[in-house]
Amino acid sequence: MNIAIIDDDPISIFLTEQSLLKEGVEVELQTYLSAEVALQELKQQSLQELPDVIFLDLNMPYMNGWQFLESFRLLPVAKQEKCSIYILTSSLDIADTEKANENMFVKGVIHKPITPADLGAILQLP
Amino acid sequence: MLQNHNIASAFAYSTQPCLVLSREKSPLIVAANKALQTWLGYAQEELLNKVFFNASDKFMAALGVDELELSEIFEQAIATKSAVKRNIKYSVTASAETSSKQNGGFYEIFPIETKAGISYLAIQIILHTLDTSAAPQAHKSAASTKSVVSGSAPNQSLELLIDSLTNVIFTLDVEPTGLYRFSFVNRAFQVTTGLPVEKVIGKYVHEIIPEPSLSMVLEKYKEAIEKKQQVSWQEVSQYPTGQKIAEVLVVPVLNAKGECFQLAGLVHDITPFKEAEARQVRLTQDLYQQNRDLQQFTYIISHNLRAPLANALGLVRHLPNVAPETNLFQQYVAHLKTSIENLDKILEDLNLILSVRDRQDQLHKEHVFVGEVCWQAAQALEVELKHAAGQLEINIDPEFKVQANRAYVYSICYNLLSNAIKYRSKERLLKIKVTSDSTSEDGPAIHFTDNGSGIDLQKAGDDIFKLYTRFHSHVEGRGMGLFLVKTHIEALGGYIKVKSTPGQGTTFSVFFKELVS
Repeated sequence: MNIAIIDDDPISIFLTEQSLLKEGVEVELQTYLSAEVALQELKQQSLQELPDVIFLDLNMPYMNGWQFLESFRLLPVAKQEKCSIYILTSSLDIADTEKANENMFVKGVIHKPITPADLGAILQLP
Repeated sequence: MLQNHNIASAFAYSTQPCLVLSREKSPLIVAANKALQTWLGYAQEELLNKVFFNASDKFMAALGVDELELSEIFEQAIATKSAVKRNIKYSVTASAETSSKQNGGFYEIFPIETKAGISYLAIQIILHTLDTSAAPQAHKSAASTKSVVSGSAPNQSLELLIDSLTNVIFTLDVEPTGLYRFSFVNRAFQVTTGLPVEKVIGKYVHEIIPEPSLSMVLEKYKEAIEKKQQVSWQEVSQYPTGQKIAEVLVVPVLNAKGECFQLAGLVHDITPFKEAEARQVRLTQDLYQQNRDLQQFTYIISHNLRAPLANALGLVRHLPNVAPETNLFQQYVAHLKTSIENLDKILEDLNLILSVRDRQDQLHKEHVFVGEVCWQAAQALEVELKHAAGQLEINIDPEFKVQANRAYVYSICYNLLSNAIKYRSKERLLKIKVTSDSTSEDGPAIHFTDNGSGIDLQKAGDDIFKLYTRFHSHVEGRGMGLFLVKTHIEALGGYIKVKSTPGQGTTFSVFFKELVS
């Protein structure tokens, strides 16, 4: 399974990585510190290369999670359907959660730090 | 000082029952007119110089009021310096004798001022069925104040009443030539304007009221006469007693042919209300500002403070299952340290922001030479500047001096210079220019210009000055600097502007409120 993490915080990426390792899941992991770089990559990847799951942070400089979702809308539908996007945020703001749940590309909202239960639920889905 | 017998004589021949009391804790009856004695069957010596509340059972019963309520009315009349009017109440406890005297009507309690302040309280009872021949006369006088003006039938009690009011009352004779002449002004006119009554009565309006007020009031008088109805407006005037905001009302008095021969005017001082209103507006603004700060505070707590906390939490949860003395364990510990340090930094930031806001009012300000402070900030950044191999040119007029808080000016210069170094372009050597412009139309300005990587302002907009907003992912930063610069310059009464072309450079312009010489 291909998994991508988009987060400007290296410690947060480290934690998500370690959590996945602990679950013992066989994954191909791509990590991005910048949402813009991630988007360029998604545009160029073939359907096979595309991640099955994307963990997306919201609060990032330059291009934040929301802006990423706006641009994601412009990708071909086949690509959009391949990727399940999960918001992985430290924000406890209810407004953020509501806004995320309204977005058609967002499959779920996870509050940091990610737990084994969160991962179990997500990785059985695709 | 008014003598007691003067006061007594003022009310003596009134057809309405009147009582005058001294202003004391236990008021003494200073005067009681014939009408009152006849009405309730008191003898003169039963009342005069007696303590009011001891000698006036019948009186209070006839008005249907008790000692407590009357005392409250007295206090109100004194505190507001105005008449308090109450209807006569039929009281169940009144004896047959007094209740038969209750004809219905009202009574008015008003203060009488002497040079020593409010010295007396008058109680005047207006009975509906008492002596109908005199009543309409009194009512007509009250409406037009004509009897006072012409002096044809001097009604001293009315004059006293009008003089004891704190509202300015005046009448103007409208002359066939279209000029207005003061025919009456009350004592409050003198108190408010500082002009003696004797010097006003008989004078024309244009001799008393200066421009620009004159043109305005003449316009209003004309309007009242033409429309045959009352006209009111608010005006701000400078008097010897200070600036007053007043609500003015003029009423045309018409003769039998429907022509206006007189204007009656009332001026109500609304300065205290206007001041209260201004205070209210300020309070609302403060509240609005506080509320916005609170929202921002909440945002910081839920987003920025939560981020390192969530990391620390996650790391700590994993740690028990990580073998100690491994490379991975060391990584966990290092990350944990960073997370907790970040947490601490954000708390420090919060503290700094709140202290800037809090101290805005009692900020210590001095004369600050901006050029000097800018050099100091540049010196503090010498190592960074050298590391970047950058060139810095500071060209600030040595006379560029502002009234400001030195630490704030330093923070503004330091943060802007430090940003210019941080966000330099990789493609060329860094050049920073700091210049002053004392004659700019937008206010005295300091411009910080660099040839750095620039900001796409169309994308960023006003967000660049927001707290914890960052636009460069390749450089360390917490998004605190520009927020602080903006907060500091605004606390000094100035503002900041930015111009930038991506790939070419940025100019931040800091505008101060004014220069000092």
